[in-house]
Amino acid sequence: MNGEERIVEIRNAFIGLGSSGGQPVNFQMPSLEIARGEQVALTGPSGCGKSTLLNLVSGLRVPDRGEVVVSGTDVTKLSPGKMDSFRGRTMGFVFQTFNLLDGFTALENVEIGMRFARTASGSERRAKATAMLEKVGLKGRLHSYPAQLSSGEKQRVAVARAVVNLPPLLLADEPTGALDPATATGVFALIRQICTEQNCALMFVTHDLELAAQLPRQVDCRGLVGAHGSEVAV
Amino acid sequence: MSLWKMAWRYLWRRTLVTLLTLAGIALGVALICSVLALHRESESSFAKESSQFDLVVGAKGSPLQLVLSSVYQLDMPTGNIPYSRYQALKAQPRFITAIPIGLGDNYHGYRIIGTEPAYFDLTDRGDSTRKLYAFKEGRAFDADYEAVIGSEVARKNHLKLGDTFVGTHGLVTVAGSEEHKNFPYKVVGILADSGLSADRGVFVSMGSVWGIHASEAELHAKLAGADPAEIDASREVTAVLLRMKIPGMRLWVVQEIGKKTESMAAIPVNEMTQMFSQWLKPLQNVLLAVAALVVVVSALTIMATFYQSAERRRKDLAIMRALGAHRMEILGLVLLEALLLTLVGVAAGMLLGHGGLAIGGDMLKDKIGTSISAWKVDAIEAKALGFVALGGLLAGLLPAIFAYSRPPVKDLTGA
Repeated sequence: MNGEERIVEIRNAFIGLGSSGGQPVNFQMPSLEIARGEQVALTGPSGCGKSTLLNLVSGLRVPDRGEVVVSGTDVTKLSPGKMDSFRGRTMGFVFQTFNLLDGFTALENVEIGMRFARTASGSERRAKATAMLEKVGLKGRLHSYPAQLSSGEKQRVAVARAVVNLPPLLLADEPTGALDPATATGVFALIRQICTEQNCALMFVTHDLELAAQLPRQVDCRGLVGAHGSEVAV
Repeated sequence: MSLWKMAWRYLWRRTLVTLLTLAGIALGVALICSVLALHRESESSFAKESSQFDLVVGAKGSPLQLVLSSVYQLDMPTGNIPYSRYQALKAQPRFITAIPIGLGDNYHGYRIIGTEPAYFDLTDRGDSTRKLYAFKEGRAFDADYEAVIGSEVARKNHLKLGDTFVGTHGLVTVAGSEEHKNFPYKVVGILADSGLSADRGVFVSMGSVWGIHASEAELHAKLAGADPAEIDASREVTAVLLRMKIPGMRLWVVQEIGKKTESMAAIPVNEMTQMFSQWLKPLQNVLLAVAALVVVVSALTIMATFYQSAERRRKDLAIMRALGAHRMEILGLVLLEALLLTLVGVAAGMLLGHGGLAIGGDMLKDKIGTSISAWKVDAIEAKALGFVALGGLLAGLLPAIFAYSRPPVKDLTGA
């Protein structure tokens, strides 16, 4: 990774997760580096720590110790307010359950993403949101509410919302998990295409090893969560 | 999309709960507005009229009853006093004005008041350049069986100048009341609307009152074996309204009249102040307490509603945090919803309260004899409504803090 801009750097991150059967349960990530534009699959069984890893990178979870550097900023050192702003500008999220705001249209969902990230003025937001929704194939669904959209369309809105701010990092937590295979393939391709176009790093959590194999790099997350923490191959 | 717009959208996503909460706030506010406005208006109207006369002299009894019956045309008179008593008072230089009042008949429930034309020459003590009772049309009576009627009497009975009517015996009309059909009155003057009790009065000469009842008086005198020559001496008035040269001496005069004569004097302003402090103020406080209770219940409803709403929206709020929303923005969003709900509730309550007063103004005037400036909002009301708005905001604070302090990670991932 010499010479490449690092978007994610994790060093000796540790989180105490409580205990189970009298044994402490911890999350431990000795080291992870992801370069700008790199597309990485995070694989492993449920509960192995994939989502915890994403939360750590996004600053939604703060490690008890260790460093988590995103786009040159150690997110563990940021105040909650600065972390919120940083997250909005630097990262996009796509979730398995879409996580759209039900009371707002597709267009408004994307605009709200820009509003909180403060990446565009009020007048610019509508134009950018419209363009992005058109790009993900939802030209005729701008004013539809989430309840009026299919699962695939909802996930496309979520993708549009995640990338409209042109973040250097996209965090996707099993974004195809709730979709049928054909739709999943389409959404996966869309995410990859946009990340490539925007030179955006992708951390893609999935159980689907076939899908993971299509990405240039895989990180096996088994062993991140355990009684004592353990080394993980990266 | 601004936080205001988002807050508004969230409010109307739960239409029923929002409307019910709004109704609670609006009812409380309407109650506060109407109680305060009623108190303010009635107190100022009663005070204006009570300050027009320094003393009222009448038969012994309740001083408040004497004032209410002779100044405000409410309640029953305490009885009558000899006409000679009025003459004696009028002759005293310490009184600059002495107006007799003679009650006994009514016209469709409006009291027929025997008095003197000087009644219409009274100037307003609040503004001595204007007359207390101005004429809308016509003139003061200058002969018996001519009548000057108040604005409300004219309006409600469709009476105009030149019309005639007959009075009914007694101060209220009941089934079988005797009508004085042989003594019709002719309308010669109609008073302009004053907001005072004169609006509800029918004013005639004392001679008219005595004339109508002369046959009864003669009969009574003969039955009592009195000399017909004494009939004139037995003429009576119900009360005498007095203005003094030195109003500061009225308490002394009250004591003097009480001790030295068979009649009684009352100070209108004192009686009305006492009535307000002893009767109306506690009643107002009870009503305000009820209104405050309604508002408190509404505030608690806001708190419960928003707490529940924030709980249901945990995921939405967490998504916003993931999108970069600051914790203060989440706090602001929930607070704005509470503020919007309260402000709309207060506005609706004001409309309801003041609108109700405007619509029911005539009915209130019939009942309490005073006009209502229905849309006036004074400083006390503004302050009270400010407290209501603040209460609504505070009610939203707890759920807002709850939303502010909740880590989003749990609601995003279920971790």
